[in-house]
This record gives sequence, structure tokens and C-alpha cells, in this order.
Amino acid sequence: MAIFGNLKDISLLDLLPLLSGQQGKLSLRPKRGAELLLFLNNSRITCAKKGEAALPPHRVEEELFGLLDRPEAEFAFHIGDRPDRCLGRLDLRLEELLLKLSTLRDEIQSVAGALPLPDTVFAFADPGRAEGDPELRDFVRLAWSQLERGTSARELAGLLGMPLDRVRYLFYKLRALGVIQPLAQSPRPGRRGIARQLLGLLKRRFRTWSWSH
Amino acid sequence: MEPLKLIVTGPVGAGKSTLIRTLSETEVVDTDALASEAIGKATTTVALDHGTLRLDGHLLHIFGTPGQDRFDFMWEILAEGALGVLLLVRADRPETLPAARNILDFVVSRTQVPHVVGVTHLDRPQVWRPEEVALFLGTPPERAVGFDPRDREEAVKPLVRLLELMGA
Repeated sequence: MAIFGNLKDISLLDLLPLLSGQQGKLSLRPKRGAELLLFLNNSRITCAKKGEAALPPHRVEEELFGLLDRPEAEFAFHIGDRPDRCLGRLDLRLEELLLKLSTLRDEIQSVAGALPLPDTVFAFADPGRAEGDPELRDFVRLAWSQLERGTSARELAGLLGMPLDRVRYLFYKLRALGVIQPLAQSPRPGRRGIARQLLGLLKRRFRTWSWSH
Repeated sequence: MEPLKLIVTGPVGAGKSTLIRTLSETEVVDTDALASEAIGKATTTVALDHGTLRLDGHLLHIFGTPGQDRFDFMWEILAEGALGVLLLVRADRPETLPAARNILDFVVSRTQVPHVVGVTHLDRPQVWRPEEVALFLGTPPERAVGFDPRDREEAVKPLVRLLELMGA
């Protein structure tokens, strides 16, 4: 084994191109959570596993996206290692995957200040408006039951195993399209009386202001 | 009588601390510190501002929250049982509107507390009018009030609007 280190020192965007011409097994071991194994061959990911489970393509993207911003995660590349058996064979071109991930990261960073807060609860306004965008449509289908009752980006990220910022970004786009909106709580009942009383007191106290506005 | 609580929130520099200092009849407890990042002013609230306004037998506690969204965990706790939330927004800084909308979305979806949007700095040359701010925030125009938080007679305007809407 000659290639090892930590993603906080060598980012995934540097590491993956370095390994693209190699055949072997890349182990990514975050500080928390299960180890991610990627089997590389001929500039492609041919198999991906987390724990014992083989990952489908979209989960591989999500996992790698979560590792993009140099978290504490050790990596080691074992040249020549092949999967014993892989239930879900993949054919993910590393070059395309890297381009997609870095584009997505740039998009998210460009609107970082406008992303919804992780615990804001959203629900459907008009789910049909997501149909024009395949990525949004697929996400909406995946999160349908949660968005019907109302859910936050944090809850959904946990349930779907997606990076939180990715879900916040999808929420941002869905909100802009009018697919979802914040789920408004009903105001606490029984405060009309105190409001009227305080209003009367304020009007007596602040006499000089025009109350006609 | 039950103590009442009013929450003043909004992005950095909207005038939250100024409003509380203007309205409070007791010495304001503030927690200003030198800003650790470029936020357009020298100091910022790092924990809470607190002041009070007595209206006959009712004591209204006014709490101001920090403007940075990394303190969002405080908003839900503070808003619990509150009379209302005043969200302050600067009319001359459209770049703070997305942050203001995020705060409002959070408050609306996580609490049962009514809100009013107070639009400040309307005396600047180029400004968004209160109804335009309301449009961006996705709240009805009657919930947005323009006012000057430095002036005592003006500072009461958003509170009055809140109570009018609650009592209607």
C-alpha cells in the first residue's frame, strides 16, 4: 500500500484523478460512520460498498459529495484489490462524476447564504411543478410522504442518507419553483384579549403618534 | 400577571439592539462584542439583548437575538410562549433579504407565534418599500411596517401592528 492519508490534507478532487488510471480498492473511513469502499478499474467505479451493502449510483454520488469538503476521513488505496463479489455492478466514469460533484459544490457555495435553515419545516405547495427537472422530480418522489406531512432538510437528510447541504440546496430550488413552502403553524389561540388590552394601553402611553397610519 | 415576552430578530445590522434600547424603560442588558467577521459594523450581539416595557400591570420583556443564523437554535427556545416576533430588515440592504426570509420561514414553521416585519433605514437614498420586502418574504403586506427604531414614538409601530393583527 503506497497511497494513503487523510482527506483533510488531500481532497477527494485531488485524490480521485490520481487513482483514475489504477485498478484497486479505495477505502474511505470517516471519523464517524461506516467505511466506504470503492473499487476502481479503467477510470471507472465498478463497485461501491458501505458496510456490507452495495451502493447504487445515486448513493455513490451522495456519499462522495458528503466527503468533498475535506472532512476528517482517512483513505487508503490497495492496488490490485478486486471485490470478492458485488451485487450491484457499476459503470461510473470517474471524470464525469468528479465534474458533476465539483459543479454541484460550486452551485451550493454560490447560494450558501440563501439556503433554508436545516430545521425549517417545508411541505408541498404544488408538487407538479417539479416535473420539468428530472433531478428534482426524482427527489420529490423519494421524499413524497415526508413532504406531504411536512419535513425539514435535517430530518430528510437523515432518512435518505444524503448530505445535509445537498438537501438544503434541493429545498432551495424546490421553494424557488413553488413546489414546496414553509409549513405555517397556526398561531397559539386565546391571545386576542391580551392583545386588545395591550393595544389600548400603548395608545394611551404613546399619544403623539398618528394612529391612523 | 403573566409576564409577556416579545422577540426581536433579524439579520445583522437591522436595528434590533437599537429598537430594544429605544423601547426599554429599564437598563438594557446587551452582549455586544467586537465582530469577528466583516458584517458592516464594529460590534454585534453575541448572546441576547434584554429590556422591559411596563404597561400598567403588564411587564413586557423584550429579547433581541443575535443576527447570525448559526444561532438559530436560540430562536425556537426564545419564541416558546412569546406574544410575538418582530423580524427587522434593512430597507437599503437587499443582500440581507434571503437571510431574513430564512429566519421568518423558521419562525413560521417551528412556532405558533405571530410575526410582524419591521423595515428600517427607510431614510436612505435607495430602499425597498415595506410592501416590497413583504413580497420577497412571502408574507402579507399588512404584516410589514416601516419605522425608525431610534425614535421612541416610531419604535412602537411594529408592536402596535402586531397587536392590531392579533386582536382583529
